[in-house]
Amino acid sequence: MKIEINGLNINYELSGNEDGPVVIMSHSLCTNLDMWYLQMAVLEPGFRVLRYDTRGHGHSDAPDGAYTLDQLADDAMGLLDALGIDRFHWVGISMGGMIGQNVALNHADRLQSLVLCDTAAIMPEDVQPLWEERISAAKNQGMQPMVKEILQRWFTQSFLSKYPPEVRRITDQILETPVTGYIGCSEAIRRLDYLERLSEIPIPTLIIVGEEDPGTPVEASEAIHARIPDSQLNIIPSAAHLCNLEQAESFNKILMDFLQ
Amino acid sequence: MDMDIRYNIVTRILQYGIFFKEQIGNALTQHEPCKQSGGNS
Repeated sequence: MKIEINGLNINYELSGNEDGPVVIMSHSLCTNLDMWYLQMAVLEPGFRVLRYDTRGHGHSDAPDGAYTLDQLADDAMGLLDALGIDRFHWVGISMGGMIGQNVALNHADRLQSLVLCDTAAIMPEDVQPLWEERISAAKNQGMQPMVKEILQRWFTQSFLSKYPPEVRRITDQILETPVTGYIGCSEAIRRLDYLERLSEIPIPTLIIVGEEDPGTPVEASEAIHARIPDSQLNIIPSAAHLCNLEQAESFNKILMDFLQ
Repeated sequence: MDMDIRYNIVTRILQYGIFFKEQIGNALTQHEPCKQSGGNS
């Protein structure tokens, strides 16, 4: 379904137990709401699950220009408001975890809990040229040339070779991401700078990271864990960046133990 | 050695070895506030 939020059409799916607490799921850069498909079977019986396409992704609008994490968080809050949802659990992976930090810093009173998966709280100055390269590559060549490199960051080699259908499903999401959306969200991510504010987050927080995540490594999660007072950290073995897909069973158990 | 095997070995070394993590990930690992947080988990 689509709804107009902040002048844009935002695509979302609301499913699960209508009487259950709400869990909002926020996906990574270059994917869409479908990337949570392996979590739905465990969440839907007990929770009202709100999945949405971040602006620039999936079936949501993808305007030109640089986005900000404030805008991405405002979109999510606008969606929650439009649906009449006051309190919610936030589950975000990678970029979705960055948006979650923004929501937790600005709307903590509405959050029941926060789950941050394979994410970071800061983009150091020395990685800015890398983001400029990625943005420039997308602008000049589109998404196709980036697919292989992205998949190697997101999954272990073992997973890539053993699970072609799952890899294909994510590959399609990468290819379907509008270049304007990739660039807009990359501009938001590269300005990420919440690390020294995380101690202000007063809500229970679960941090999950794949042990072999090369892009947002364990150290980035440890830095978040060290700063959020009521937080716990779970490191999932044999998983890279998208650990909710690569080790779905372990991920789901950790998530459900926390939410329940 | 078979090219595929050689490719896989090189890929694993690149992915998990000491020479190369991933540039942004490596920068985060080396970022001083992140380094100082290690061991608190």
